[in-house]
Amino acid sequence: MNKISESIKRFDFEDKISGKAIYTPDVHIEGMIYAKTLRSKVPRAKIVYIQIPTLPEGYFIVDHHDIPEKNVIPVVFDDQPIFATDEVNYIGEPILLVVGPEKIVILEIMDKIIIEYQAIQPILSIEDAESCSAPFIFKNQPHFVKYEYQKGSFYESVKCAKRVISDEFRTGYQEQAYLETQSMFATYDGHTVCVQGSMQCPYYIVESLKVALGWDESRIRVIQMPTGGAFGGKEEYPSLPGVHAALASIKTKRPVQLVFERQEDIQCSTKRHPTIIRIESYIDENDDIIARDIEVKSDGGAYAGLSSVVLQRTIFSIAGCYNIGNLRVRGTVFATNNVVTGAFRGFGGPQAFYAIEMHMENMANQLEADPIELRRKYFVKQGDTSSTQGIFYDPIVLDLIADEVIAMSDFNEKRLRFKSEKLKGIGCSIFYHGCGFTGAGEAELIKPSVRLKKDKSEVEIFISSTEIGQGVLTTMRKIVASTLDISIDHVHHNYPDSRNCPDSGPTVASRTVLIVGRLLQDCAIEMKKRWNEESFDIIQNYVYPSHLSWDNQIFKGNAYPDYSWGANVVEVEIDENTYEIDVKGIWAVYDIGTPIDSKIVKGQIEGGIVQGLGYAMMEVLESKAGKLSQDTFTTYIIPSSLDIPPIFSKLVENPSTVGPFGARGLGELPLVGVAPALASAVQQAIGTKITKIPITPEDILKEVQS
Amino acid sequence: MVKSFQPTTLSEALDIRMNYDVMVFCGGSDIMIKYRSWSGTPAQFPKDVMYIGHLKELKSLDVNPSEITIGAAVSFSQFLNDERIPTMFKKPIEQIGSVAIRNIGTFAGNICHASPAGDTLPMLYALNAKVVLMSKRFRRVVAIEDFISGPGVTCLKNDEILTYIIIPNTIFSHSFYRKVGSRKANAISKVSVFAVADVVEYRLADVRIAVGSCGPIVIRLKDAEARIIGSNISESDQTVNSLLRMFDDKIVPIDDVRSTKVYRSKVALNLIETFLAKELRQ
Repeated sequence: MNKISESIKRFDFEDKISGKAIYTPDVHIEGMIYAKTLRSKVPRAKIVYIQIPTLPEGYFIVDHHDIPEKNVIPVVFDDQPIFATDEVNYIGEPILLVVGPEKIVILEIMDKIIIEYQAIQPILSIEDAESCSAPFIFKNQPHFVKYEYQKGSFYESVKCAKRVISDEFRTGYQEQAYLETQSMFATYDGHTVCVQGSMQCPYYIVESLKVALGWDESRIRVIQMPTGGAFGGKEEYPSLPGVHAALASIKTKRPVQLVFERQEDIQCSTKRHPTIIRIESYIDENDDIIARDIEVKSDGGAYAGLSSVVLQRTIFSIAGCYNIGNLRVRGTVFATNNVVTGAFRGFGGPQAFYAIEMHMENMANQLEADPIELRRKYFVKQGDTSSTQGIFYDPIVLDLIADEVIAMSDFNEKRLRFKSEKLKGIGCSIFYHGCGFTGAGEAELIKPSVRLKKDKSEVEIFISSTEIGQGVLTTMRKIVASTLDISIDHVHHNYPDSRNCPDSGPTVASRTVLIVGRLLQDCAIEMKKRWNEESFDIIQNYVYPSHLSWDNQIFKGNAYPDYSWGANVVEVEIDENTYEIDVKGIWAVYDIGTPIDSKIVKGQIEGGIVQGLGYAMMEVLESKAGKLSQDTFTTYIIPSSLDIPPIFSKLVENPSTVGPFGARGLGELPLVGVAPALASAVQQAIGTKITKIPITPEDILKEVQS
Repeated sequence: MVKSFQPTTLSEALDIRMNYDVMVFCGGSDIMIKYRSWSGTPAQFPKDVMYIGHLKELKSLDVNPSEITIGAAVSFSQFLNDERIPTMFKKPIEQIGSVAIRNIGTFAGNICHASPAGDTLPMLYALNAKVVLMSKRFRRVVAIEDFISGPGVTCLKNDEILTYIIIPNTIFSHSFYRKVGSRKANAISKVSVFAVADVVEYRLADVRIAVGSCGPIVIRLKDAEARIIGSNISESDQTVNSLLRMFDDKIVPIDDVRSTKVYRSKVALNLIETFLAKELRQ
């Protein structure tokens, strides 16, 4: 084992385990008041009028009139307002805040506010959106974006096909279910507004404040507080409550706390995109796959948010780990009056790999081929091109990964045996996660920068990457200390503060160790050369690797700077009385390059697998008439500790050439492959096709009865 | 603002119950959820509240050869930790909620909440449990199935407190419990079946089957049970089938956010069949 992989005690461990960590809702400073959000109760309407009661002294309404500059949250398209003005587009859309010192009085005021709506016919599903006519939600079209790319000569090749195997799959919403709800705290001293809170991306909030206030950055400060989970749910969404809290503090000149309740959080914050995915494989007379036609449709909800980028990841990933020469891939994100969908661990990848891996499983069954050997025939190798025709420059060890997972799980023996054993099944998946921003985003959009400061014997890390449970306060110190070859006790690193941390990019896309960690390593190498100087700073900016290229207009080139790879096997037994899925074991093998801390890595693997398991078989979340039906932890079912099956994981050694010490991205990968392996196992157990996730016992009963 | 009462004795509690319109609060694991409000504001109780969870008289757990008497303030954990309680009576209790809920939740609260999905109820129905209802003037003992008349509806009068639960301490040769929730802990049951039987030399001397979450109240069909009592367990396929048909008629579950009508009926019948056709023959 590489020395850096040896686990050390996490630097955030003591505070979090002892209960000493101060989370945003724990902050109660002199003069602090509370804000609560009044939200739309209808999916789509014009606001005819809003009647506000006479406010007691010290209570305020904050709404779109209080925005000095621009009523918009900047993401990709500037379509989402900070507060609704004359129309609402989803249940839960913020209209105004009631702010004041006593929560009871705030609730009384909220009860007395009357809003008269004039309903507009809502668009409530992908199907609705496909057939809807004006008025549209977004511009003059039913979708936010519509993409298509091709590889090889798709139209030519399909003419040579002897048969077509096709599948259609559906995936549901998923809620991030972080333990700490969205929480923000803002102060204003007459010059600078400071927003502190639970977040992944401090600079997204800085940018949103600049747009809303029209102020320059010297008057804006954003600080991350200890954060109780995020999973993508605190990537772009916190900009909304962050700006809300800031506007309230500027108006009232008091510190303002804005903390969501659980039901409010589930109803209003972003979810994983539901999708409908169709895959057609064209097969020649030798049963070889010669071409694929893939179509992805997703529900983006009422505002575009990050949906376009999520869809890009889905459509780039959906070719899977396979080198199929001829591809046509199309994707559409539809605008609906459902809750806005956005970032969630895996970021479009889980839907893609569920669909492609189920399709491979179904093909293996139809062609009477071994499911792993069929896949192996098409595994991408070093030197091959990706779905977007980018060359894979580094060694790819999928064969080794597949061999390991087969051996560990006894896949071949069980697969054969379960053919004759009722209600038992085993399934597999092979998958990857493209680490870092899509295409040249890292260089063109993010332009990350890091700062390392030496002061005598002490070294301090300044980055905007957030600690969201993934261990950043520990791994970054390890990278710097190991590079400098000094004791880790001399390396300091705090929660990010935009005042002294450069924008090293958002904490997303499994990019932090890979990109930010590498920049810090580069700083440390430079620092080591100048170690005899007493005090100095080193700032390192990201440079796009010269061997990579990306054309974002035609989606051509290296879609990601690096890839991590994995395989899962899931074994199940279905209860003959209750149709419940008993997961007997999950085996997982990954290439994440060099692990930076083996225990942190194990935590990410097991946590990701459990979240993937919830996505696959438990976390039913449905929108009925624009409202989510499961909006408490009583009805939205995530796995409990008793539901965690035995997990056996292993890493293969294949150091990255991109990341520090050979590390690749890890955070999202373990979630990505669980659903297809589980669903394939259920298919073998019951002998019928599963075309949707999550798979519930109710679904299985339907299948076995039909 | 609502008023809170914290009596020091049962007698004082009964006085308060007689003189004020109060909601009785024992462990609070249901009430606090039902009347939750914005964090940092008082729970939205619809009326005055009287706390009884601390009353010593109600914390007693008496076990004798004929009866188990459970005080209203006895937590599920106290019940589970008591070695005098037969294991078969603990089966449904050890699956309730989570450790924290079992530490504060009580039989009395679960019974008075009268949810069709109440986890203690199928067992109490099957075991012919009774509840003791006390007011300042009267004490009455009511069979569990007479106490609950619908979802959330009981015959508890405004001046009464459910003080004790009495379970006949009967020994059975077979017992069966299966709760089907959406996960293995902290789940509300989608369907549950509690059954006991006494088999004496292949003859079914007694059998009781109760089904939860499959209708407005727990379903127990005494006439159906009577039909198979006395039969030989190895030759009872036909009787099993006729009994299943009777249950099929009486099971009237609903579609809701947790499950479907179809699933609940089918699973309830599967579980009853498993008990009668498999477990009893072992």
